[in-house]
Amino acid sequence: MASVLIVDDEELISSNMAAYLEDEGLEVDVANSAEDALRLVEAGLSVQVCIMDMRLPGMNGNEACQALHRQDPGIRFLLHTGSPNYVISPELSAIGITPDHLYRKPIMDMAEFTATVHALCAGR
Amino acid sequence: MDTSVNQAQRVRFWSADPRVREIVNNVADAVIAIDIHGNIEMFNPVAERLFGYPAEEVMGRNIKLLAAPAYSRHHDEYIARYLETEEPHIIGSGREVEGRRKDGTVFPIYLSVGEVKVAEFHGFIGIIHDLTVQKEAEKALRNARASLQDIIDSMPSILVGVDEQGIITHWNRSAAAERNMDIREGIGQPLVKLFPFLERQLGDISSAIRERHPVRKERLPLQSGSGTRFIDLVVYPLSSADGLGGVVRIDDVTERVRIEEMMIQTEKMMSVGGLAAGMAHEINNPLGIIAQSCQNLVRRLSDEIPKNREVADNLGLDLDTMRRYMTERGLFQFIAGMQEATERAGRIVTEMLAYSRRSTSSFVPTSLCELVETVLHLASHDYDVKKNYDFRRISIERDYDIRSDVIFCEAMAIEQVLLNLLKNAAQAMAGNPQQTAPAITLRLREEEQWLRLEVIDNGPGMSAEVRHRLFEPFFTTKPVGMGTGLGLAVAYFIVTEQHHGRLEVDSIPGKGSKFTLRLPRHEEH
Ligand SMILES: Nc1ncnc2c1ncn2[C@@H]1O[C@H](COP(=O)(O)OP(=O)(O)OP(=O)(O)O)[C@@H](O)[C@H]1O
Ligand SMILES: [Mg+2]
Repeated sequence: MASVLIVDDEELISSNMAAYLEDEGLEVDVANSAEDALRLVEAGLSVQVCIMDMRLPGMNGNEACQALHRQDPGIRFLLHTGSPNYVISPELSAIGITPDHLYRKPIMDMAEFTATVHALCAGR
Repeated sequence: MDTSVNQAQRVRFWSADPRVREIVNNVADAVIAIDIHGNIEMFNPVAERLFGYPAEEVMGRNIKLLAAPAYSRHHDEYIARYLETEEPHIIGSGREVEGRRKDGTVFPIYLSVGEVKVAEFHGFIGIIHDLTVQKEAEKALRNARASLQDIIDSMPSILVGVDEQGIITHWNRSAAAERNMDIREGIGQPLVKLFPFLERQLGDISSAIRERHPVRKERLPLQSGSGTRFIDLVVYPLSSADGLGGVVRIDDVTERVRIEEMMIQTEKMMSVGGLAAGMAHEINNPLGIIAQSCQNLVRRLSDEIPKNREVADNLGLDLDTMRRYMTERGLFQFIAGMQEATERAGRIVTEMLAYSRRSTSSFVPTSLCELVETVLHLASHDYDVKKNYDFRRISIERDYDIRSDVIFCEAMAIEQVLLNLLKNAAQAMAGNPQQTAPAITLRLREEEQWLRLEVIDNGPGMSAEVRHRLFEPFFTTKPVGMGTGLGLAVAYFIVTEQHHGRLEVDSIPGKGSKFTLRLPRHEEH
């Protein structure tokens, strides 16, 4: 089963998103920080798509994506940010993240987002 | 003719007395004597100079020779009438007429005529004073006065000259126009009668005149039919030979005050915008939670998700009944309301953020025509736009007359501006259903330094009040939830502050509105 990892320090964001994606038949794990996410992958969690909040306590989303990518270059990322001025950093471009992978909060309709998740899962 | 006889007599008479000759020859004006038939008997040296004839050449000839055609025609009648009726018209007095020189030129003269009756002579003596110089001076003076009046008339300011008692002595066209009066009507009327709003300033006006120091007052608010107006008032004292007086100058600065107020508002918004950038993140997170919670609530009530059925069955709950209950008690509407409110809050945050974008780093040469097409495409697909009306029902006319359409801009920002203008036009026309087919004209022209884009709709237009205020942040006439009133405020900011362009509005109520956008042209090298 396709597996999704949501990284967000805002618990209600990740749980709501998880609920939606689970209803769509996806298997979802949740991490409240970058450090947690790295630990989960370290412990052997197989992740196809990681939905990453960019502003996180401790390690930020920018570093977390790179670290996860080093752990498992197969992970595909979707960035989910509340910062309206956020632009994709060169390091993240370098690992294949494009503006198509960038979603700004609030996502008003999860359907389109979910379709992207499915597509990324299938693309693997 | 018996001229030879008369000639002898004439010479005799006029030269008989050397003292008479001496006087006549030395008078500073032209002196001409004629007999009762109008034939010239005497022609002094000044007359020779003035008319350009030597005396011998005019002697015995009719005086009509020396009159401008307009006068010469009736000359015989004049003399005949006088001799018959003895009613003096010009005789014994004088008037301004026109003389004719030998070379045919006509010139103004003052002619005084007296009758002379002595033994050998019955006729008339005319003294002729050349008015050429005086007439020219008068004309120059009239011209000067006219051009002075022209100058003060072409001033947009209201200018009113008053005497010490506050009675109008002069005024210009703008002043007359303010009162809807003819420019000749105001003179002699009291200032405050025609400009009642100056009642309160009267003390200052008269002390300015009396004490001879100018008084200046700025931004005096006046209540008028169409809202508050602001004027600048200046009183300059005048002191001429005939007493004290002053000039009152009034400028309507309503528009300037409004724009300044708006700029202050914009400044405020920009600091709010700076704050908003930091806050946006904090606000967008909870908004995301609300949005997704709502969506999950609705989805977890649906049949389509197997897990919903499963859990409901386990609990012995009938999902259909549950849904019917929710529908009947309006619970789905509450959820929809939350979704809408969330969306609106999200939009406000985004628009406020526009005020914090200041960088020009993302400026690139952009084809305005292409940008317009992108926006038209966006508008016809925009969920927000579609909610209220179908954009595709509106006919779009492109009236382009340009050689180059390249501007230097931040494309996204200008897209936002255009989208706003199109949405506003579409919304305005949708609210005006009995109207003829809704149409938007996009007119693109080149000006010296600008590319000018006009967005013209045939909607309901707007009142002067709305037109004055529509660039203010949060000014909207739309129902709550339909408009934030930030659209044009943001557009104005993007255009004027970020792009150093211009955004103006024109409207004829009942006919439509026109928004004129000017953006600096990109000079290609
Ligand atoms: N084309 C138009 N015709 C008539 N009135 C207009 C037109 N464009 C704007 N207005 C008036 O100007 C007001 C302000 O417009 P603005 O775009 O700033 O805010 P809004 O459209 O009300 O809200 P928002 O843009 O946030 O949805 C409108 O409410 C409307 O009354
Ligand atoms: Mg608007």
